[in-house]
Amino acid sequence: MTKFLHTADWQLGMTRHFLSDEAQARFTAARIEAITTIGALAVDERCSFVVVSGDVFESNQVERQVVVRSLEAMKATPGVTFYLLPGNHDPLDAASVFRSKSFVDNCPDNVVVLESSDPVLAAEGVEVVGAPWSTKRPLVDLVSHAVAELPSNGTLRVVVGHGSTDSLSPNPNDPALIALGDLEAAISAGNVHYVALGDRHSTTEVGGTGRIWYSGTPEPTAYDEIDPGNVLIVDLSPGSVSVERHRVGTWRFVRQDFDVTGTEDCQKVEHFLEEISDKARTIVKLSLVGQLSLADMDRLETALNHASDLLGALERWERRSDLVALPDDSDFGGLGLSGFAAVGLEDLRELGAGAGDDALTARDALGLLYRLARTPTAS
Amino acid sequence: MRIHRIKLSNYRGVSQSEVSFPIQGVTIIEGDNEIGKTSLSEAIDLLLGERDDSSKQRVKTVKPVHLDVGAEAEVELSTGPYRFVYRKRWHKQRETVLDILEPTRCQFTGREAHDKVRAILDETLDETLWDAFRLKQGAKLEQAAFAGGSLGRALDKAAGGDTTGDRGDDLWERITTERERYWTATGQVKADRTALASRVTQAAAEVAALETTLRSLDDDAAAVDRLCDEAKVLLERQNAHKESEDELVARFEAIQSRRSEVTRLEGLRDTALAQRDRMLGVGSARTDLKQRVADTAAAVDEIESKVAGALPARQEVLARLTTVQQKFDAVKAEIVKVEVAQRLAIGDRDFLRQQIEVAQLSERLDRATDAVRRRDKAEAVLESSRVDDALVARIEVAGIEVAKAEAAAATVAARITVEAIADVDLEIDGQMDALGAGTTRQLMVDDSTEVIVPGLLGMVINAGAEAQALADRLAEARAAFRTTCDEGGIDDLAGARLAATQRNEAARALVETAKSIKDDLRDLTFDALAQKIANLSVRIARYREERPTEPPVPSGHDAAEMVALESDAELQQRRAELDRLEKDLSRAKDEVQTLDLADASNRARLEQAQIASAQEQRSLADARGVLSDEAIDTQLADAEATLSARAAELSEVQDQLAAQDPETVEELLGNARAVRTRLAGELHDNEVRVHELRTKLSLLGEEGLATQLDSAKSELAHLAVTHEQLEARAAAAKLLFETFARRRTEAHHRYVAPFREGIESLGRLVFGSSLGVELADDLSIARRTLDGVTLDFAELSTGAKEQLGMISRLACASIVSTDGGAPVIFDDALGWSDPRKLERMGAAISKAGRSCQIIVLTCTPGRYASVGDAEVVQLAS
Repeated sequence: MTKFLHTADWQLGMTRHFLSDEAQARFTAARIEAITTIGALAVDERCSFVVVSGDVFESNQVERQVVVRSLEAMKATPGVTFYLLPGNHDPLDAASVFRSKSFVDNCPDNVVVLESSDPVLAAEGVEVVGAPWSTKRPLVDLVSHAVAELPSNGTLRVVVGHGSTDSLSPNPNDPALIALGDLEAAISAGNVHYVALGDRHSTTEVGGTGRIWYSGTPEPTAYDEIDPGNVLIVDLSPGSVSVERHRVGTWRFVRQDFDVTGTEDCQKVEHFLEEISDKARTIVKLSLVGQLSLADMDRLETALNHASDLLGALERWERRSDLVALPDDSDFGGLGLSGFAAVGLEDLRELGAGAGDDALTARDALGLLYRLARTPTAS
Repeated sequence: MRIHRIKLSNYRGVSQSEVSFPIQGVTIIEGDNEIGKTSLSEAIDLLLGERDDSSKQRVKTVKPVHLDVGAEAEVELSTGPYRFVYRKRWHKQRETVLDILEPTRCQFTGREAHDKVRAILDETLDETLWDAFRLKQGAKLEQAAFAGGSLGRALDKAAGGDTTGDRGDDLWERITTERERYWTATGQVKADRTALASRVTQAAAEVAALETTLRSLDDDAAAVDRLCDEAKVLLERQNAHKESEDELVARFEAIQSRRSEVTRLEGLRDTALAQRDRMLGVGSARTDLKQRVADTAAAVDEIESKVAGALPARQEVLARLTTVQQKFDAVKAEIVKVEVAQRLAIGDRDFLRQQIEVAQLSERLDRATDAVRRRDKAEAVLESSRVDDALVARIEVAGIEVAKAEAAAATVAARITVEAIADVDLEIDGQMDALGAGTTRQLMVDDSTEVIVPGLLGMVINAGAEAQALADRLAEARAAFRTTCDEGGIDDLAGARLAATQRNEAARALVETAKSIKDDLRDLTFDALAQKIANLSVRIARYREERPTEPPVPSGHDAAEMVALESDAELQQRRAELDRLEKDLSRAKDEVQTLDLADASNRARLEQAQIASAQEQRSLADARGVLSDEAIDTQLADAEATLSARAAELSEVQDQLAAQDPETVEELLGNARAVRTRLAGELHDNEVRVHELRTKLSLLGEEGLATQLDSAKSELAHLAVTHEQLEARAAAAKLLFETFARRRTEAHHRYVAPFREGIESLGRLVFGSSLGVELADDLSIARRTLDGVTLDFAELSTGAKEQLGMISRLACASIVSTDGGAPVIFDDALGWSDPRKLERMGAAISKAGRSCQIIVLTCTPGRYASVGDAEVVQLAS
C-alpha cells in the first residue's frame, strides 16, 4: 500500500507570445512555483514519491535558469522523491536536458530520471516502471513494451508513460499510440496496478479500470483545456485504488465572444472585463464582431486598453475588420465642421463605406479626424 | 471711407486750395510740379495721424516759409456711419476742430477731437487697406498684402459665409501636425517608421536563425543515435571477421612450411645438376683436344705441298725477263745514232736560215739609212722656209686687198677709153703703148695719168680727191702686200704658194721617213742592227768551217728543213719502242718479285704449323695422364643418375604444395587483414564523429536556445503588431491630410475667385484676353499666365508689375467698396508703362471707377488722357 502524487506536463520554460515581458516572467515563475506547491502538497498528504509523466521541460533546449530553479524547487522537499519521465518535448536523446551539465551538476538526491524501463524500487514493495521517450517520434508503443515482461510477484507497480492512448487519439496511424487493451490486460493480470500518463493537459480518466489516468498540467497553458491545473493524489493497494484531484493551478485562460453593435453591447464587454477576478493571473481572449459608431468605438477602445493593463494578457480580435467603426452623423455633428472640412469629411465617409484596405484606411482616418476635431481649440 | 473734400491753407507753398471729389468714380487732379498735388494726399495723413502740437519733422516741413503763420488743412470725409469735417492748424495758433455731421451732430476740439477721430477710424477703417491703396510716385513696386482684413471678410461674405474661418485653420493645423508625425514634408516615410520596419525584418531574421540552429541541433541528436547504431553493427562485423581471419592464418602457415621443404629439395637437385654439367664439360674438353691434334697435323701437310708447287713458275718468268732486257739494250744503241743525224740536220737548217736573215737585216739597214738622209734634207728645207700656210694665207689676203683697192680705185677712177682710129703710139705714164687702128685701151686714172700722143697731144688726167684717197689705199695695200711677201722672202703670191708647197712636202717627208725608220729598225738601234748583222755573219762563217763534209749540206733552207724533220721522226719512233720495252721489263721484274714473296711466306707458315701441332700432342698426352677417357665416361653416368633421382623427389613435393592453392590463400589472407584495418578505421571515425557531436550538443544545450527562440518570437510578434498599427495610423493620417488638403485648396480657389476674376477682368483690358492670374494664400499675385506662358510675379517686367499692382488694388477696392473700403489714391503712378499700356490702363481705371472712389494726381495730363468717365480738376497757382 502506498500513497504518491501523480502530475505531468510541467513544460517548464514555456513561453506565450501574447504575454508581455512582465506577465511572462510571472507566468514562468508560477510554473516553477507549482513545483514547490506540489512538493508541499506531497508532504502534507504523506506521499512517498511524486511521478512526473513526461514533458517536465518545454524543450531540451530550455535555458539554464529554468533547469536549476526547478531542481532547486524539488530540492526543497528532500523527503519526497521526484521520478521524472522524458516525454516528447524533452526526450532522452543525445541532446537531452536530463544529461546536460546544468541538470547533472545540480541534480539533488531526491530527483531520479527514469532513463529506461527497468523497474525502480520507489518504496518497500513498490516499483516504478517508466516508458521514457528516447526520440521525438517513437515507432513503437513504449508503454506496452515496458509492461510486457513484468512478472506478477506481488510487487505494486506504478507504470509511468507519456503519449496518446488509442481510445482517445484521433490518429490511428500513429505507431506510438498507447494500447489501452494491453494496459488493461496487464492490470487484470496483476502485473500493473496504476498507469500514470502524461500529454493531455486536462485531468482525464482512461478506460474503465479507474487505474489509468492523465493527471493534466498543474498550470493551464491554453484556452482550450477543459480541466487543467490539477494534480492527482493516488492511494494504491493491491486490491484497491483511490484517486483524488487537487487543484494547484493559479492562472486562468478565459475566452469570450461578443456581438457588438451599439453602446449597450460595449457596456456588456466593459462589465465582463471588470468582473474578472484575479485579473493579473487571467489571460483573456475576446472575439468582438459587429460595428460601432466612432464615439462608441473610442469608448470601447479606452475600456480595452484599461483592461489590458490590469489583466495578465488581453488578446484582441483576430482580424481588425471583424469589428467595424462606422461613423454616424451624431459623431461629427457636435464638432461644428464646416466648409472644406465638412466636404472632406463626406469624402472620407464615402470611402469608408466600401470594402477593402482603402475603406479600412478611410475609417481609420475618420477616427483620427474625430479625435483631432474633438480636442478643444487653442484660441 | 470716402473723401468728399480737401482744403489747404498756407500749406507748404499753397496759400489756398480746395478740391471736391465725387464719392464714386475717377477724379484726375492735374497740375504742374510743386503746385500742391501731393500735398493734398499728404495733408490727409497729417490730419488723421498727427496732433496739432506734433513736433515731428514731417509736420514742421509743411509750415509755409514766407509767412509767419501755421499750415492748415481741412478734410470732409465719410467712413462707416460717420461723416465729419476735420480741420487742423499746426505751428502757430494751433487748432484742432472736429465737426461730426452724421449720425449725430456734435463737435469736438483739441485733443479730444484727435482722439475721437482715431476712434472712429479704428472702428470703421481697415488701415492696412487704406495704406495699400495709396500708390505714390517713386514707391517700391510691392504687392499689397490683402490677406485677412476687410478683403478677406468681403471674400468670405462673397463665398457665402460657409468658410471654416479660424476653426478650420486650427483643425487644419492639427491635421498637418499629425501627418508630420509619420511623413516628411515631401511625403517620404519618416525615419522611425523605416527603422521599425527594419527592426521587424531583423527580428524575423533572428527567429529564423534560431529555428535553423535548433533544427540542426535536432538533426545532430538524431545523427548521434544513428551513429551509435552503426557502431554496434560494426563491432559485430569485426568479431565475425576475426574468426575467418584466424582460419586463414592457420592454412597459410601450413603452406609456408611446405614451401621451405620445396626450397630444400631444390637445393639438393641443383647440386646434382651442377655435378653432371661439370662432367659433361670435362668430356667435351677432351674431345676438343683430340680434334685439335688432328687439325694441326693436317695443316702442316697442306703447306708443304704448296711450297713445292711454286718452283717451276718462277723459272719461266726469269727466262722471259732476260729476253726483254736484251732487246731493250739494242734499241737504246740505235737511238744514239739517230740523234747524231738529227743534230746535223738542224745545224744545217739553221745555217741556211741565218744566211737569209743576214740579207734581210742588211736591207733594212740600207733602207733606214736612206730614210735618214731624206729626213735630214726635209729638215733643212723646213728650217730655211719661212713660208707656212698661214703666211700664204696672209699673202693671199693682202693680195685680195690689193685687188679690192684696185677695183675701188678703178671705179672712181676716171676711165678713159682710148680708141685708136688709126695706128697710134701712146705714152701712158711714160709707158709707150702702140695701138693699132680700131683697138681700144682702157685707162684707169686713180691719181694722175699722163697720156701723151707724141708730137701731138699731151693729156694729164687727174683723179678726183676721192680717187686720190682710194689711190692712197691702193698704194697702202700694195705696200702691205710687199711687206708680207718680204716676210716670206718671196716675190709674189705664186712664189708664196710654191714655197708653202715645198714646206708642206718637207713636212710630209719628215713624217714618212720617221715611219720608215721605225719600221725598219723596229726595236733596235742602228748600231744594234749592225751588230746583229755582224754576229750572224760571224756564226755563219764559223759553221761553214766546222761542218764535216759528209753528209753534204742541203741545197736550200727548205731542203734542210725536210732532212731535219725526217730524222726527228725516226728518233721519235725509236724512243717509243724503247718505252714499250721498258714497260715489259718492269712487268717481268714485278712478277719475279711476287713469286719470291709468296714463297717466303709459305715457308714461315709451315714452320708455325709444325710448332702448333707439336704443342697439341703434348697437351693430349698430359690430360690423359690425369684422367683417362674411360674414367670421364664413368663419372658422367653416375652424375646423371643422381640428378634424376633428386628431380623426382622435388617434383613430388611441389605437386603437394600446388594442391594447397597457396596464391589464393595468400590473397584471401591479405584481403582479410585489409578488411580488419578498414573496420578498425570505420569504428574509429564513428567514435570521433560521435564525440564531436556530443560535445557540440552539450555546449549548445547550455545556451537555452528554445527559450531564446521563444523570446525572439515574442519580440517579433510584438514588433509586427506595433509596426502594423503604426503603418495603419500613418496611412490614416496621410489620407486625412490629402483629402482635406484637396478640399481646402478647392475652397480657397472658390474663395479667392471674386478677387481673381476682378483682377483678370481689369487685366484683360490691359494685357489681352489670354490673361490669367493665380493668387497665393495671402491674396498676392503669385503667377501670371499670358498667351500660354506662365511666369512667377517676380519674373515679370517692371512695367507689368506696376500695372498688375495697380490692377490688384483696383479690383480689391471694387470688392470692398460695398462695405466701406477706402479711396484709391494714385500719385503719379504708371511711370513705367509704355503709351499703349497707358491707354489700356486708362480703360481699366475707368471701369474700376464705376464701383469705387479713385483719385489720380498727375503733372502729365496725357498720362491719364484715356480714362474715360473722369472728372478733371486743374490746379493752378
